[in-house]
Amino acid sequence: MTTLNFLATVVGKSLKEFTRERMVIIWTYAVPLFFLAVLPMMYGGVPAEVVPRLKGALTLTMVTFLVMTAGQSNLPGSIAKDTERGLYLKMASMPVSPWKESLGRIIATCIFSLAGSALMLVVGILYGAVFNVCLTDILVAAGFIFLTVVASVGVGLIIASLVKGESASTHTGVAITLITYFLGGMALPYTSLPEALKVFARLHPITSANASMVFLLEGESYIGYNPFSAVQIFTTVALSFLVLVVGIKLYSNLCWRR
Amino acid sequence: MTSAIAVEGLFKRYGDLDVLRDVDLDIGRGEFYTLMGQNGSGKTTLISIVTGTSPPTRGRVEIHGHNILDESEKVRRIIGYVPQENFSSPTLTGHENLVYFARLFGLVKSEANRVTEQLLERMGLTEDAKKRVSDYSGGMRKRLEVATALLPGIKVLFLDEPTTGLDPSTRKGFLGTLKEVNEEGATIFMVTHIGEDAEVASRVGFMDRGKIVLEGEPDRLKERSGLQNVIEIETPFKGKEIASVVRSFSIDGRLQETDEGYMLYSDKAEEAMPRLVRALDGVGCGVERIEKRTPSLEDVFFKATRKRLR
Repeated sequence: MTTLNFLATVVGKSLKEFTRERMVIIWTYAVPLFFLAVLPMMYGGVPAEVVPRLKGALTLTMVTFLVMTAGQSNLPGSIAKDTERGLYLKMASMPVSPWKESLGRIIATCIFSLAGSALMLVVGILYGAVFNVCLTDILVAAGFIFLTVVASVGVGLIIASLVKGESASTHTGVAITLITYFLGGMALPYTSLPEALKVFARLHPITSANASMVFLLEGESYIGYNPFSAVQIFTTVALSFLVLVVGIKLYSNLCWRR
Repeated sequence: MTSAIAVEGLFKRYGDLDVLRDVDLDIGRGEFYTLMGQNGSGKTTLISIVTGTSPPTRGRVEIHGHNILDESEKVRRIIGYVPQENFSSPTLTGHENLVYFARLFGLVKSEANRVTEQLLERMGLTEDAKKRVSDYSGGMRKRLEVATALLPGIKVLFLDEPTTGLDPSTRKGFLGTLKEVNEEGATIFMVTHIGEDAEVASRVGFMDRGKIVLEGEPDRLKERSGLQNVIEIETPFKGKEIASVVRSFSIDGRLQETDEGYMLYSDKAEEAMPRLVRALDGVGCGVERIEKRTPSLEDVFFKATRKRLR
Protein backbone atom coordinates (compact mmCIF):
# COMPACT_ATOMS: atom_id res chain seq x y z
CA MET A 1 0.00 0.00 0.00
CA THR A 2 1.33 3.42 -0.86
CA THR A 3 2.03 6.06 1.76
CA LEU A 4 -0.93 8.08 0.48
CA ASN A 5 -3.32 5.16 0.93
CA PHE A 6 -1.94 4.57 4.40
CA LEU A 7 -2.40 8.22 5.33
CA ALA A 8 -5.94 8.20 3.92
CA THR A 9 -6.74 5.23 6.18
CA VAL A 10 -5.48 6.92 9.35
CA VAL A 11 -7.03 10.28 8.42
CA GLY A 12 -10.41 8.66 7.67
CA LYS A 13 -10.47 6.78 10.97
CA SER A 14 -9.44 9.84 13.03
CA LEU A 15 -12.01 12.09 11.34
CA LYS A 16 -14.79 9.54 11.93
CA GLU A 17 -13.84 9.37 15.60
CA PHE A 18 -13.75 13.18 15.94
CA THR A 19 -17.05 13.77 14.21
CA ARG A 20 -18.95 10.93 15.91
CA GLU A 21 -18.08 12.05 19.43
CA ARG A 22 -20.73 14.59 20.40
CA MET A 23 -18.58 16.14 23.14
CA VAL A 24 -15.69 16.70 20.75
CA ILE A 25 -17.98 18.65 18.41
CA ILE A 26 -19.45 20.64 21.30
CA TRP A 27 -16.10 21.50 22.88
CA THR A 28 -14.36 22.32 19.63
CA TYR A 29 -17.05 23.97 17.51
CA ALA A 30 -19.87 25.03 19.80
CA VAL A 31 -17.86 26.79 22.53
CA PRO A 32 -16.12 29.31 20.23
CA LEU A 33 -19.41 29.82 18.37
CA PHE A 34 -21.03 30.58 21.73
CA PHE A 35 -18.30 33.14 22.57
CA LEU A 36 -18.70 34.64 19.12
CA ALA A 37 -22.42 35.09 19.75
CA VAL A 38 -22.22 36.31 23.34
CA LEU A 39 -19.09 38.51 23.62
CA PRO A 40 -20.32 41.24 21.17
CA MET A 41 -23.26 41.79 23.56
CA MET A 42 -20.69 43.37 25.88
CA TYR A 43 -19.69 46.02 23.32
CA GLY A 44 -22.25 48.43 24.87
CA GLY A 45 -20.05 51.55 25.03
CA VAL A 46 -18.29 50.95 21.72
CA PRO A 47 -19.12 53.29 18.80
CA ALA A 48 -21.41 51.50 16.32
CA GLU A 49 -19.02 51.97 13.38
CA VAL A 50 -16.25 50.08 15.22
CA VAL A 51 -18.37 47.06 16.15
CA PRO A 52 -18.09 45.23 12.79
CA ARG A 53 -14.28 45.41 12.97
CA LEU A 54 -14.30 44.26 16.58
CA LYS A 55 -16.49 41.36 15.55
CA GLY A 56 -13.97 40.63 12.80
CA ALA A 57 -11.10 40.56 15.32
CA LEU A 58 -13.18 38.39 17.65
CA THR A 59 -14.01 35.97 14.81
CA LEU A 60 -10.31 35.52 14.02
CA THR A 61 -9.50 35.01 17.70
CA MET A 62 -12.24 32.38 17.94
CA VAL A 63 -10.78 30.64 14.89
CA THR A 64 -7.49 30.44 16.81
CA PHE A 65 -9.34 29.28 19.93
CA LEU A 66 -10.99 26.50 17.92
CA VAL A 67 -7.72 25.45 16.34
CA MET A 68 -6.05 25.37 19.77
CA THR A 69 -8.86 23.25 21.23
CA ALA A 70 -8.67 20.73 18.36
CA GLY A 71 -4.88 20.42 18.45
CA GLN A 72 -4.15 20.80 22.14
CA SER A 73 -7.13 19.04 23.65
CA ASN A 74 -8.91 16.74 21.16
CA LEU A 75 -5.74 15.30 19.67
CA PRO A 76 -4.02 14.34 22.96
CA GLY A 77 -7.38 13.11 24.30
CA SER A 78 -7.82 10.75 21.36
CA ILE A 79 -4.20 9.55 21.55
CA ALA A 80 -4.52 8.92 25.30
CA LYS A 81 -7.76 7.01 24.74
CA ASP A 82 -6.06 4.84 22.12
CA THR A 83 -3.13 4.25 24.48
CA GLU A 84 -5.45 3.22 27.31
CA ARG A 85 -7.27 0.73 25.14
CA GLY A 86 -4.08 -0.90 23.89
CA LEU A 87 -4.22 0.29 20.28
CA TYR A 88 -0.54 1.23 20.29
CA LEU A 89 0.43 -2.21 21.57
CA LYS A 90 -1.56 -3.70 18.71
CA MET A 91 -0.08 -1.34 16.11
CA ALA A 92 3.44 -1.87 17.44
CA SER A 93 3.10 -5.55 16.54
CA MET A 94 2.00 -4.65 12.99
CA PRO A 95 3.99 -3.39 10.00
CA VAL A 96 3.07 0.24 10.78
CA SER A 97 5.43 3.24 10.78
CA PRO A 98 4.98 5.55 13.81
CA TRP A 99 5.96 8.55 11.70
CA LYS A 100 3.34 7.86 9.05
CA GLU A 101 0.72 7.14 11.67
CA SER A 102 1.45 10.42 13.45
CA LEU A 103 1.32 12.26 10.12
CA GLY A 104 -2.14 10.77 9.49
CA ARG A 105 -3.35 12.00 12.87
CA ILE A 106 -1.87 15.46 12.22
CA ILE A 107 -3.57 15.74 8.83
CA ALA A 108 -6.90 14.66 10.35
CA THR A 109 -6.57 17.32 13.06
CA CYS A 110 -5.68 19.92 10.39
CA ILE A 111 -8.78 19.03 8.33
CA PHE A 112 -11.00 19.08 11.43
CA SER A 113 -9.53 22.45 12.51
CA LEU A 114 -9.71 24.03 9.07
CA ALA A 115 -13.32 22.90 8.55
CA GLY A 116 -14.18 24.49 11.91
CA SER A 117 -12.27 27.65 10.97
CA ALA A 118 -14.25 27.97 7.75
CA LEU A 119 -17.49 27.52 9.68
CA MET A 120 -16.41 30.14 12.22
CA LEU A 121 -15.56 32.67 9.50
CA VAL A 122 -18.91 32.12 7.75
CA VAL A 123 -20.83 32.51 11.02
CA GLY A 124 -18.75 35.58 11.94
CA ILE A 125 -19.48 37.27 8.60
CA LEU A 126 -23.19 36.44 8.86
CA TYR A 127 -23.10 37.96 12.34
CA GLY A 128 -21.70 41.22 10.99
CA ALA A 129 -17.93 40.81 11.15
CA VAL A 130 -16.04 42.92 8.61
CA PHE A 131 -12.48 42.34 7.37
CA ASN A 132 -10.03 44.38 5.23
CA VAL A 133 -9.81 41.82 2.50
CA CYS A 134 -7.78 41.42 -0.64
CA LEU A 135 -6.66 38.12 -2.16
CA THR A 136 -3.09 38.44 -0.89
CA ASP A 137 -4.28 39.15 2.65
CA ILE A 138 -6.54 36.09 2.58
CA LEU A 139 -3.66 33.87 1.48
CA VAL A 140 -1.31 35.30 4.11
CA ALA A 141 -4.01 34.96 6.80
CA ALA A 142 -4.59 31.34 5.71
CA GLY A 143 -0.86 30.82 6.18
CA PHE A 144 -1.09 32.11 9.75
CA ILE A 145 -4.10 29.86 10.46
CA PHE A 146 -1.96 27.00 9.19
CA LEU A 147 0.83 28.01 11.57
CA THR A 148 -1.58 27.98 14.52
CA VAL A 149 -2.65 24.48 13.47
CA VAL A 150 0.99 23.35 13.24
CA ALA A 151 1.88 24.74 16.67
CA SER A 152 -1.34 23.50 18.31
CA VAL A 153 -0.81 19.97 16.96
CA GLY A 154 2.78 20.10 18.18
CA VAL A 155 1.67 21.10 21.67
CA GLY A 156 -1.03 18.40 21.50
CA LEU A 157 1.52 15.70 20.64
CA ILE A 158 3.78 16.85 23.48
CA ILE A 159 0.84 16.67 25.92
CA ALA A 160 -0.14 13.22 24.60
CA SER A 161 3.42 11.98 25.07
CA LEU A 162 3.95 13.32 28.57
CA VAL A 163 0.50 13.20 30.22
CA LYS A 164 -1.05 9.78 30.67
CA GLY A 165 -4.79 9.09 30.66
CA GLU A 166 -7.56 10.49 28.47
CA SER A 167 -9.07 12.75 31.11
CA ALA A 168 -5.70 14.15 32.25
CA SER A 169 -4.55 14.78 28.66
CA THR A 170 -7.78 16.48 27.64
CA HIS A 171 -7.88 18.68 30.74
CA THR A 172 -4.22 19.62 30.39
CA GLY A 173 -4.97 20.66 26.81
CA VAL A 174 -7.98 22.72 27.90
CA ALA A 175 -5.93 24.40 30.64
CA ILE A 176 -3.09 25.29 28.25
CA THR A 177 -5.63 26.63 25.72
CA LEU A 178 -7.27 28.84 28.34
CA ILE A 179 -3.93 30.07 29.72
CA THR A 180 -2.79 30.92 26.20
CA TYR A 181 -6.11 32.64 25.44
CA PHE A 182 -6.23 34.76 28.60
CA LEU A 183 -2.52 35.54 29.07
CA GLY A 184 -1.40 35.76 25.44
CA GLY A 185 -3.17 38.93 24.41
CA MET A 186 -6.19 37.22 22.85
CA ALA A 187 -8.85 37.78 25.52
CA LEU A 188 -7.36 41.03 26.84
CA PRO A 189 -5.74 43.80 24.77
CA TYR A 190 -2.02 43.34 24.25
CA THR A 191 -1.40 46.92 25.47
CA SER A 192 -2.95 46.15 28.86
CA LEU A 193 -0.63 43.17 29.50
CA PRO A 194 2.34 43.45 31.89
CA GLU A 195 5.76 43.42 30.20
CA ALA A 196 6.44 39.73 30.94
CA LEU A 197 3.17 38.68 29.31
CA LYS A 198 3.86 40.93 26.32
CA VAL A 199 7.06 38.95 25.76
CA PHE A 200 5.06 35.73 26.19
CA ALA A 201 2.45 36.89 23.66
CA ARG A 202 5.10 37.75 21.08
CA LEU A 203 7.14 34.57 21.59
CA HIS A 204 4.24 32.12 21.70
CA PRO A 205 3.78 30.94 18.10
CA ILE A 206 -0.02 30.66 18.43
CA THR A 207 -0.73 34.07 19.99
CA SER A 208 1.78 35.67 17.66
CA ALA A 209 0.18 34.06 14.57
CA ASN A 210 -3.24 35.16 15.85
CA ALA A 211 -1.93 38.73 16.26
CA SER A 212 -0.55 38.63 12.72
CA MET A 213 -3.94 37.56 11.31
CA VAL A 214 -5.86 40.23 13.19
CA PHE A 215 -3.26 42.88 12.29
CA LEU A 216 -3.52 41.91 8.64
CA LEU A 217 -7.31 41.85 8.40
CA GLU A 218 -8.29 44.48 10.96
CA GLY A 219 -5.28 46.76 11.55
CA GLU A 220 -2.73 47.53 14.28
CA SER A 221 -5.24 49.23 16.60
CA TYR A 222 -6.86 45.84 17.29
CA ILE A 223 -3.54 44.29 18.29
CA GLY A 224 -1.36 46.99 19.81
CA TYR A 225 1.89 46.13 18.07
CA ASN A 226 3.16 45.38 14.60
CA PRO A 227 3.85 41.65 14.32
CA PHE A 228 5.08 41.97 10.73
CA SER A 229 8.76 42.50 11.50
CA ALA A 230 11.20 40.02 9.98
CA VAL A 231 12.35 38.81 13.42
CA GLN A 232 8.78 38.35 14.66
CA ILE A 233 7.66 36.41 11.57
CA PHE A 234 10.78 34.24 11.60
CA THR A 235 10.27 33.51 15.31
CA THR A 236 6.62 32.55 14.77
CA VAL A 237 7.34 30.26 11.82
CA ALA A 238 10.42 28.67 13.38
CA LEU A 239 8.83 28.05 16.78
CA SER A 240 5.64 26.63 15.21
CA PHE A 241 7.59 24.00 13.31
CA LEU A 242 10.01 23.40 16.17
CA VAL A 243 7.10 22.60 18.50
CA LEU A 244 5.68 20.25 15.85
CA VAL A 245 8.96 18.41 15.34
CA VAL A 246 9.48 18.03 19.09
CA GLY A 247 5.88 16.77 19.39
CA ILE A 248 6.30 14.16 16.64
CA LYS A 249 9.62 12.99 18.08
CA LEU A 250 8.22 12.60 21.60
CA TYR A 251 5.08 10.92 20.29
CA SER A 252 7.03 8.41 18.20
CA ASN A 253 9.33 7.55 21.10
CA LEU A 254 6.94 7.60 24.06
CA CYS A 255 3.49 6.60 22.75
CA TRP A 256 4.81 3.80 20.56
CA ARG A 257 6.27 0.93 22.54
CA ARG A 258 8.72 -1.09 20.49
CA MET B 1 11.43 -27.52 9.67
CA THR B 2 12.08 -24.60 12.01
CA SER B 3 9.85 -23.87 14.98
CA ALA B 4 6.95 -21.43 14.89
CA ILE B 5 8.28 -19.74 18.02
CA ALA B 6 11.78 -20.32 19.34
CA VAL B 7 12.92 -18.55 22.49
CA GLU B 8 16.38 -19.03 23.95
CA GLY B 9 17.80 -17.61 27.17
CA LEU B 10 15.30 -14.76 27.27
CA PHE B 11 16.00 -12.36 30.10
CA LYS B 12 14.21 -9.13 30.99
CA ARG B 13 15.11 -6.76 33.79
CA TYR B 14 13.13 -3.70 34.85
CA GLY B 15 15.30 -1.68 37.24
CA ASP B 16 16.36 -4.16 39.93
CA LEU B 17 13.60 -6.63 39.10
CA ASP B 18 14.28 -9.70 36.96
CA VAL B 19 10.92 -10.23 35.29
CA LEU B 20 12.06 -13.00 32.93
CA ARG B 21 14.90 -15.29 33.94
CA ASP B 22 16.43 -17.23 31.05
CA VAL B 23 13.22 -18.47 29.48
CA ASP B 24 13.53 -21.18 26.82
CA LEU B 25 10.56 -22.11 24.68
CA ASP B 26 10.09 -24.10 21.51
CA ILE B 27 6.65 -24.14 19.94
CA GLY B 28 6.09 -26.16 16.78
CA ARG B 29 4.15 -24.97 13.74
CA GLY B 30 0.44 -25.60 14.14
CA GLU B 31 0.67 -26.03 17.91
CA PHE B 32 -1.82 -24.48 20.35
CA TYR B 33 0.31 -23.50 23.33
CA THR B 34 -1.08 -21.97 26.49
CA LEU B 35 1.02 -20.25 29.11
CA MET B 36 -0.45 -20.14 32.61
CA GLY B 37 0.74 -18.10 35.53
CA GLN B 38 -0.20 -15.72 38.28
CA ASN B 39 -0.38 -11.97 37.76
CA GLY B 40 3.18 -10.67 37.81
CA SER B 41 4.75 -13.99 36.87
CA GLY B 42 6.13 -12.54 33.61
CA LYS B 43 3.54 -13.83 31.10
CA THR B 44 2.65 -10.47 29.61
CA THR B 45 6.31 -9.41 29.50
CA LEU B 46 7.10 -12.59 27.59
CA ILE B 47 4.29 -12.05 25.08
CA SER B 48 5.26 -8.40 24.61
CA ILE B 49 8.84 -9.41 23.78
CA VAL B 50 7.93 -12.21 21.38
CA THR B 51 5.51 -9.88 19.56
CA GLY B 52 8.22 -7.25 19.20
CA THR B 53 6.45 -4.60 21.26
CA SER B 54 9.13 -4.57 23.96
CA PRO B 55 12.86 -5.33 23.71
CA PRO B 56 14.51 -8.08 25.77
CA THR B 57 17.46 -7.38 28.06
CA ARG B 58 19.13 -10.40 26.45
CA GLY B 59 18.21 -13.62 24.71
CA ARG B 60 17.02 -14.69 21.28
CA VAL B 61 13.52 -14.92 19.81
CA GLU B 62 12.69 -16.29 16.37
CA ILE B 63 9.31 -16.49 14.71
CA HIS B 64 9.24 -18.92 11.77
CA GLY B 65 13.01 -18.64 11.63
CA HIS B 66 13.07 -14.81 11.58
CA ASN B 67 14.88 -13.04 14.39
CA ILE B 68 12.50 -10.67 16.16
CA LEU B 69 15.11 -7.87 16.37
CA ASP B 70 17.00 -8.20 13.09
CA GLU B 71 14.02 -9.06 10.89
CA SER B 72 11.25 -7.23 12.70
CA GLU B 73 9.43 -6.15 9.52
CA LYS B 74 9.20 -9.76 8.29
CA VAL B 75 8.03 -10.91 11.70
CA ARG B 76 5.31 -8.23 11.86
CA ARG B 77 3.87 -9.56 8.59
CA ILE B 78 3.35 -13.06 9.97
CA ILE B 79 2.14 -12.44 13.51
CA GLY B 80 -1.25 -11.38 14.81
CA TYR B 81 -1.32 -10.00 18.35
CA VAL B 82 -4.47 -9.54 20.42
CA PRO B 83 -3.57 -7.61 23.59
CA GLN B 84 -5.59 -8.01 26.76
CA GLU B 85 -7.27 -4.60 26.36
CA ASN B 86 -10.17 -4.00 23.96
CA PHE B 87 -8.24 -2.06 21.33
CA SER B 88 -11.00 -1.77 18.71
CA SER B 89 -12.52 1.69 18.34
CA PRO B 90 -15.96 1.89 19.98
CA THR B 91 -17.05 4.79 17.75
CA LEU B 92 -16.43 2.81 14.54
CA THR B 93 -18.53 -0.10 13.30
CA GLY B 94 -17.20 -3.64 13.34
CA HIS B 95 -16.72 -3.47 9.57
CA GLU B 96 -14.88 -0.14 9.75
CA ASN B 97 -12.58 -1.45 12.48
CA LEU B 98 -11.60 -4.52 10.51
CA VAL B 99 -11.07 -2.58 7.29
CA TYR B 100 -8.87 -0.16 9.25
CA PHE B 101 -6.60 -2.91 10.57
CA ALA B 102 -6.56 -4.68 7.19
CA ARG B 103 -5.41 -1.47 5.53
CA LEU B 104 -2.81 -0.78 8.23
CA PHE B 105 -1.57 -4.28 7.50
CA GLY B 106 -1.02 -3.22 3.91
CA LEU B 107 -4.06 -4.44 2.00
CA VAL B 108 -5.52 -2.19 -0.72
CA LYS B 109 -9.08 -0.97 -0.21
CA SER B 110 -10.87 -3.57 -2.33
CA GLU B 111 -8.86 -6.42 -0.84
CA ALA B 112 -9.37 -5.06 2.69
CA ASN B 113 -13.13 -4.99 2.12
CA ARG B 114 -13.18 -8.52 0.71
CA VAL B 115 -11.09 -9.93 3.57
CA THR B 116 -13.21 -8.04 6.11
CA GLU B 117 -16.42 -9.63 4.77
CA GLN B 118 -14.81 -13.07 5.04
CA LEU B 119 -13.54 -12.53 8.57
CA LEU B 120 -16.86 -11.12 9.79
CA GLU B 121 -18.59 -14.19 8.35
CA ARG B 122 -16.10 -16.50 9.99
CA MET B 123 -16.51 -14.82 13.37
CA GLY B 124 -20.30 -14.80 13.09
CA LEU B 125 -20.47 -11.03 13.06
CA THR B 126 -21.87 -10.35 9.58
CA GLU B 127 -25.29 -9.29 10.88
CA ASP B 128 -23.71 -6.86 13.33
CA ALA B 129 -21.06 -5.55 10.94
CA LYS B 130 -22.72 -2.14 10.58
CA LYS B 131 -23.26 -1.65 14.30
CA ARG B 132 -20.88 0.51 16.27
CA VAL B 133 -18.54 -1.51 18.46
CA SER B 134 -19.84 0.39 21.50
CA ASP B 135 -23.06 -1.63 20.98
CA TYR B 136 -21.21 -4.98 20.89
CA SER B 137 -21.14 -7.42 23.80
CA GLY B 138 -17.76 -8.33 25.33
CA GLY B 139 -17.67 -11.62 23.42
CA MET B 140 -18.52 -9.99 20.07
CA ARG B 141 -15.83 -7.38 20.58
CA LYS B 142 -13.22 -9.97 21.44
CA ARG B 143 -14.13 -12.04 18.36
CA LEU B 144 -13.78 -8.91 16.23
CA GLU B 145 -10.35 -8.27 17.72
CA VAL B 146 -9.23 -11.83 17.13
CA ALA B 147 -10.30 -11.34 13.50
CA THR B 148 -7.66 -8.59 13.22
CA ALA B 149 -5.09 -11.31 13.92
CA LEU B 150 -6.34 -13.52 11.10
CA LEU B 151 -5.44 -11.30 8.17
CA PRO B 152 -3.89 -13.00 5.13
CA GLY B 153 -0.30 -14.09 5.68
CA ILE B 154 -0.51 -14.27 9.45
CA LYS B 155 0.83 -17.59 10.70
CA VAL B 156 1.19 -17.14 14.45
CA LEU B 157 -1.47 -15.71 16.79
CA PHE B 158 -0.59 -14.26 20.18
CA LEU B 159 -3.48 -13.81 22.59
CA ASP B 160 -3.09 -12.19 26.01
CA GLU B 161 -5.84 -13.21 28.45
CA PRO B 162 -8.46 -13.18 25.66
CA THR B 163 -11.33 -14.51 27.78
CA THR B 164 -11.08 -12.00 30.63
CA GLY B 165 -14.53 -10.55 31.31
CA LEU B 166 -16.42 -13.07 29.15
CA ASP B 167 -19.27 -15.08 30.65
CA PRO B 168 -18.82 -18.89 30.70
CA SER B 169 -20.96 -19.68 27.64
CA THR B 170 -19.40 -16.90 25.54
CA ARG B 171 -15.98 -18.09 26.68
CA LYS B 172 -16.73 -21.62 25.54
CA GLY B 173 -17.86 -20.44 22.10
CA PHE B 174 -14.85 -18.19 21.79
CA LEU B 175 -12.42 -20.99 22.67
CA GLY B 176 -14.18 -23.21 20.11
CA THR B 177 -13.48 -20.59 17.46
CA LEU B 178 -9.81 -20.50 18.48
CA LYS B 179 -9.62 -24.27 18.23
CA GLU B 180 -11.02 -24.11 14.68
CA VAL B 181 -8.48 -21.46 13.71
CA ASN B 182 -5.73 -23.69 15.11
CA GLU B 183 -7.03 -26.74 13.24
CA GLU B 184 -6.82 -24.76 10.02
CA GLY B 185 -3.07 -24.48 10.52
CA ALA B 186 -2.38 -21.35 12.57
CA THR B 187 -0.03 -21.58 15.54
CA ILE B 188 -1.59 -20.12 18.68
CA PHE B 189 0.23 -18.84 21.74
CA MET B 190 -2.24 -17.89 24.45
CA VAL B 191 -1.62 -16.48 27.90
CA THR B 192 -4.22 -17.15 30.57
CA HIS B 193 -4.72 -17.67 34.27
CA ILE B 194 -7.88 -19.73 33.74
CA GLY B 195 -7.33 -23.49 33.84
CA GLU B 196 -10.42 -24.34 31.79
CA ASP B 197 -9.18 -22.14 28.95
CA ALA B 198 -5.83 -23.90 28.94
CA GLU B 199 -7.55 -27.27 28.47
CA VAL B 200 -8.12 -26.51 24.76
CA ALA B 201 -4.37 -26.27 24.13
CA SER B 202 -2.20 -29.05 22.79
CA ARG B 203 0.53 -28.03 25.24
CA VAL B 204 0.56 -26.00 28.43
CA GLY B 205 3.40 -24.22 30.20
CA PHE B 206 3.37 -22.97 33.79
CA MET B 207 5.20 -19.75 34.49
CA ASP B 208 6.36 -18.77 37.94
CA ARG B 209 8.63 -15.89 38.91
CA GLY B 210 9.93 -15.34 35.39
CA LYS B 211 10.62 -18.96 34.52
CA ILE B 212 8.69 -21.76 32.83
CA VAL B 213 8.65 -24.36 35.58
CA LEU B 214 6.61 -27.12 33.93
CA GLU B 215 5.39 -27.94 30.42
CA GLY B 216 3.37 -30.67 28.78
CA GLU B 217 0.09 -31.82 27.29
CA PRO B 218 -2.83 -31.02 29.59
CA ASP B 219 -3.73 -34.67 30.28
CA ARG B 220 -0.12 -35.69 30.75
CA LEU B 221 0.44 -32.84 33.21
CA LYS B 222 -2.52 -34.03 35.26
CA GLU B 223 -1.31 -37.62 35.15
CA ARG B 224 2.22 -36.67 36.11
CA SER B 225 0.99 -34.53 38.99
CA GLY B 226 -0.20 -37.68 40.75
CA LEU B 227 -3.38 -35.92 41.70
CA GLN B 228 -6.39 -38.22 41.63
CA ASN B 229 -9.06 -36.27 43.43
CA VAL B 230 -9.58 -32.84 44.84
CA ILE B 231 -11.72 -32.47 47.95
CA GLU B 232 -13.40 -29.14 48.54
CA ILE B 233 -14.74 -28.56 52.01
CA GLU B 234 -16.82 -25.67 53.31
CA THR B 235 -16.66 -24.93 57.03
CA PRO B 236 -18.52 -22.31 59.11
CA PHE B 237 -15.20 -20.94 60.35
CA LYS B 238 -11.47 -21.46 59.83
CA GLY B 239 -8.53 -21.73 62.19
CA LYS B 240 -5.15 -23.33 62.86
CA GLU B 241 -6.59 -26.41 64.56
CA ILE B 242 -9.10 -27.01 61.79
CA ALA B 243 -6.48 -26.51 59.09
CA SER B 244 -4.24 -29.00 60.85
CA VAL B 245 -7.02 -31.63 60.91
CA VAL B 246 -7.84 -31.10 57.25
CA ARG B 247 -4.16 -31.15 56.26
CA SER B 248 -3.71 -34.59 57.82
CA PHE B 249 -6.00 -35.97 55.06
CA SER B 250 -3.97 -34.46 52.22
CA ILE B 251 -1.71 -36.84 50.28
CA ASP B 252 1.11 -34.34 50.01
CA GLY B 253 0.52 -32.34 53.17
CA ARG B 254 -0.53 -29.36 51.07
CA LEU B 255 -3.66 -27.45 51.87
CA GLN B 256 -5.18 -24.58 50.01
CA GLU B 257 -7.38 -22.15 51.86
CA THR B 258 -10.39 -21.01 49.83
CA ASP B 259 -12.99 -18.31 50.47
CA GLU B 260 -15.39 -20.79 52.05
CA GLY B 261 -13.02 -23.33 53.60
CA TYR B 262 -10.26 -25.56 52.31
CA MET B 263 -9.14 -27.60 49.32
CA LEU B 264 -6.87 -30.64 49.48
CA TYR B 265 -5.64 -33.49 47.28
CA SER B 266 -6.52 -37.06 48.05
CA ASP B 267 -5.95 -40.43 46.36
CA LYS B 268 -8.97 -42.13 47.98
CA ALA B 269 -11.49 -39.35 48.34
CA GLU B 270 -14.54 -41.63 48.80
CA GLU B 271 -12.99 -43.16 51.91
CA ALA B 272 -11.39 -39.97 53.19
CA MET B 273 -14.46 -37.73 53.06
CA PRO B 274 -16.59 -39.38 55.82
CA ARG B 275 -13.50 -39.70 58.04
CA LEU B 276 -12.68 -36.05 57.50
CA VAL B 277 -16.23 -35.00 58.47
CA ARG B 278 -15.98 -37.08 61.66
CA ALA B 279 -12.53 -35.65 62.49
CA LEU B 280 -13.79 -32.11 62.13
CA ASP B 281 -16.82 -32.93 64.27
CA GLY B 282 -14.35 -34.09 66.90
CA VAL B 283 -12.82 -30.60 67.09
CA GLY B 284 -16.23 -28.94 67.17
CA CYS B 285 -16.35 -27.83 63.57
CA GLY B 286 -19.34 -28.84 61.49
CA VAL B 287 -19.09 -29.24 57.73
CA GLU B 288 -21.43 -27.20 55.55
CA ARG B 289 -20.45 -28.82 52.25
CA ILE B 290 -17.93 -31.41 51.12
CA GLU B 291 -17.41 -32.72 47.61
CA LYS B 292 -14.81 -34.28 45.39
CA ARG B 293 -13.92 -33.36 41.85
CA THR B 294 -11.33 -34.31 39.28
CA PRO B 295 -8.21 -32.14 39.29
CA SER B 296 -7.96 -29.22 36.88
CA LEU B 297 -4.88 -27.57 35.42
CA GLU B 298 -5.21 -24.94 38.13
CA ASP B 299 -4.80 -27.72 40.71
CA VAL B 300 -1.75 -29.00 38.88
CA PHE B 301 -0.38 -25.46 38.81
CA PHE B 302 -0.98 -25.14 42.54
CA LYS B 303 0.77 -28.42 43.19
CA ALA B 304 3.75 -27.36 41.09
CA THR B 305 4.13 -23.83 42.44
CA ARG B 306 2.10 -23.72 45.70
CA LYS B 307 0.34 -20.68 44.25
CA ARG B 308 -3.28 -20.14 43.31
CA LEU B 309 -4.11 -18.76 39.91
CA ARG B 310 -7.27 -16.97 40.99
